[in-house]
Amino acid sequence: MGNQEASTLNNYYPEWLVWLLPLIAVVFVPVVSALGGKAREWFAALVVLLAAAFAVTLVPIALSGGSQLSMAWLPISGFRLQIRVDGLSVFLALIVNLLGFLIVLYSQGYMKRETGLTRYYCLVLLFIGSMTGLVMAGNLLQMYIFWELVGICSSFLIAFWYDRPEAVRAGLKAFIVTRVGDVGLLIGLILLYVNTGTFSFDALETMAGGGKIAGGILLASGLLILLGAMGKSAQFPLHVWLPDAMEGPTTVSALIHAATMVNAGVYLVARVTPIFGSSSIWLGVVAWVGIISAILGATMAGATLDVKRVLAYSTISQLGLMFLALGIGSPGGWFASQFHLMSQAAFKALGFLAAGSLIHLLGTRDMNEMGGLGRKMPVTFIAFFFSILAMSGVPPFIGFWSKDLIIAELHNAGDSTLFILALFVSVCTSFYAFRAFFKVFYRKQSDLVKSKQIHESPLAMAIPLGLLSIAVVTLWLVEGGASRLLGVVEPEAASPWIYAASLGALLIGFLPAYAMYLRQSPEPSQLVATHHWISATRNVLLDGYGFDRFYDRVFASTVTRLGSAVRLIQTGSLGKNMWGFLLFILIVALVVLAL
Amino acid sequence: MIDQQILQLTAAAMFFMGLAGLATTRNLVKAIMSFQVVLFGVNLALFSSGLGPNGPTMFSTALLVLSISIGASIEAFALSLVILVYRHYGTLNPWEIRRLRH
Amino acid sequence: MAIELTILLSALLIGVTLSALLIKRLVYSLIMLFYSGLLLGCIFLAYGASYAGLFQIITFAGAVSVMFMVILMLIGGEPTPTGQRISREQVIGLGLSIAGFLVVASILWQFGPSPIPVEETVLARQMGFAADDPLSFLWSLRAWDIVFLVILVSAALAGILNLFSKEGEHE
Repeated sequence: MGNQEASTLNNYYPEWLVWLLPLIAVVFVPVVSALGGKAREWFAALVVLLAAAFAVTLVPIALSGGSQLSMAWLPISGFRLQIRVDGLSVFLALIVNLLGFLIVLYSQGYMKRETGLTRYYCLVLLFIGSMTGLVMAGNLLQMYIFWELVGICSSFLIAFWYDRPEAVRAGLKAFIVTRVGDVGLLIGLILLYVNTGTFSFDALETMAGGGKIAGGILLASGLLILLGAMGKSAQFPLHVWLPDAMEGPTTVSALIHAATMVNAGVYLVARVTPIFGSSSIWLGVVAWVGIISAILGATMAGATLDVKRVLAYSTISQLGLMFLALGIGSPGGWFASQFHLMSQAAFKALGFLAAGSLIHLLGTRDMNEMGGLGRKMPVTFIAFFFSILAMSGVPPFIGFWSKDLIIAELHNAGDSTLFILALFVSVCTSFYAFRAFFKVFYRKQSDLVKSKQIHESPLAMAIPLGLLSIAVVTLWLVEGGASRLLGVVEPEAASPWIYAASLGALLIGFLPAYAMYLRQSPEPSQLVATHHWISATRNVLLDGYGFDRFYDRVFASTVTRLGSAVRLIQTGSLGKNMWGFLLFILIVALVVLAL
Repeated sequence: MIDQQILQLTAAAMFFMGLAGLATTRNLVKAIMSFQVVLFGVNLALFSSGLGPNGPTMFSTALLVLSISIGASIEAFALSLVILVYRHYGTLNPWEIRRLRH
Repeated sequence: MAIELTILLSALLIGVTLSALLIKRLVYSLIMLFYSGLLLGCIFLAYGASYAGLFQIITFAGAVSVMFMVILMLIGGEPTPTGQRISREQVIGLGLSIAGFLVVASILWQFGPSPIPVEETVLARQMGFAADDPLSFLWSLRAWDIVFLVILVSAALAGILNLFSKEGEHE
């Protein structure tokens, strides 16, 4: 990998501008919005399009072996600003910017009648710039800075409608839960730095390869960094923020909580696999965290009634599959996880955008109030249908190829428990996907639907839906290119038994959904009433396995009680506060005197 | 050098005089004056730490100027807040001004 | 530097500041504070730090005192009510401060003055910019920076004039 000193910034502007451009443009959004709403929307779309163009120009550099720009940041401390252009960075930068462009375009139609749009576009641009900066960072410290920025943007955007208390609560919850992961990440970073003296990915890889990092330190810092990834990617046990994050606008859910920010955790694990991958304990933890989250997400999605929550739980589940693939430890698994990342980004964003056009029209997220919308909204119908097909893994949609890659890798690795569990996840996935689809688009029209004027979405929303639908069908073509970009050998076709197994899982999940939600025999509510175990399971799933209640009882109430105790020393009068200050000085001075 | 020690002791005395004033005064304007005395102590301590064999070094003078300007700006801000507090509460006695909403 | 001068100036400084804090009438207290700032500036000047001394006199004994005067005019410098006993809280505050001062003074007395920093040439080189960092890039843009500052200040002025010329007109 060529290591160049950027002595003149002029020669390397795509590497810089791909993440700096959106960040700088944030400051100009208020200025442009003084010219009018339309100008602001086009400005944002143009900026992201430019950033995407810059990302595309980086592809040749990445294909030819990649490069890393390095610039002195704080000369005294020795920290350097490192921009890493290699296959993984460019791959993710492309995903972020292209999806970002489509979603900004979609926002023009979806957020048309909202106020506070300046704040919205500022935050979205800040987010896209920071996410690109995150994936192109060459050292852990720089990546951590963008990590935090991305988390802040996410929380602000969840709480975009700040006059709704649920949205505010959800934004705070997202921030606090990911904070737990971030603290772990920071401690892991520092631990690694103290023991190796560097933050840079390159240097750490060579050190780990040469065996210069002690095993205990490697495992400890690896697990802590994994904690950070778990927080950001909503994996067990830090998954509780993602379903509540659906209180934000649907475009935000599509961009941040389906396609890009939650992939930051997967990116981090993929990036540090060369460093920590030698420890099989670490790989095992990654895999098991993944599969447990996958099962949790897939089962909870089968019970919920909110269409966005179905997609949120589905995201948790698919991310779990990616973690599982990374935990296998082989290059094939690594590639499978990144390929599934791309495919999940595509079909999940499509799903959210389609759901968004439904929500935009009907004003509700409850699937029981939808129904019978098939004929009247063709573009949305096709979009949602394609997303569901890709999610379940129907060929030739992209979801089939990427999920199959993971299952094939699991089979090659020889771990039969994980293989069976992954197939179980596929069954659940297909069940909840088709359940949602049938509930929304088939059956009789509900009263709400009859009362509204059903029409198709405006052009600004329809174009991204159309483009993503086409993408979801045709993305399998880029598998070869992706493998070359990421620098792995193109995986060979798996044995037909694997395909048969996953298609079988698909069918096993599809049939009950078809029976219960399309044919209405057996009627789901009847099932719940007659079989006690079904209603009990449903209650457990609706409760989210009790995670929220547990966290509230154990952590939140402890903090609240500590706060009430500390309240006693807040007196509010100047003199008494000065006592505290003087006491502090006295104690410190006495300690210094004693030593 | 003995010079430096005397100056440092004076600086400590000024600092604690200011803090004592801040802790005991019954008038907010007096409190800001005490705060200014604290700043004097801090700047004097900064100055005395930077005394070399030929007098104060250029670096320490630069830091001192920086510190003085920062202190003065903080004081200006505090004084404007004092005016607002007076208009809102009607009194300048910090022992009586305890709640944010009056 | 003559040690008697230092002792004289320090003693005078402490005395003046003490009276600034103890005098009841705010205007007189303010005058003593002004005098104290002036003395501190003289200490700086006596050691040859002309920049620092002059700057101290200009800001504290100049701008800040005038600012205090204006505040007193706005608020009304009525003296704090006399005849009030020293309350218990005040005694606690005074006691803590005196204790703190004694402890810190003993620390300062035991340990000598702090070591003088290394020669300035080395420090300047350490603080100098390497050729390839963002700081030197920004420094090379300083001419543009001045231009933008001028534009910004004039824009701010224009904005203020604009805002305050339409008094009584609310959107």
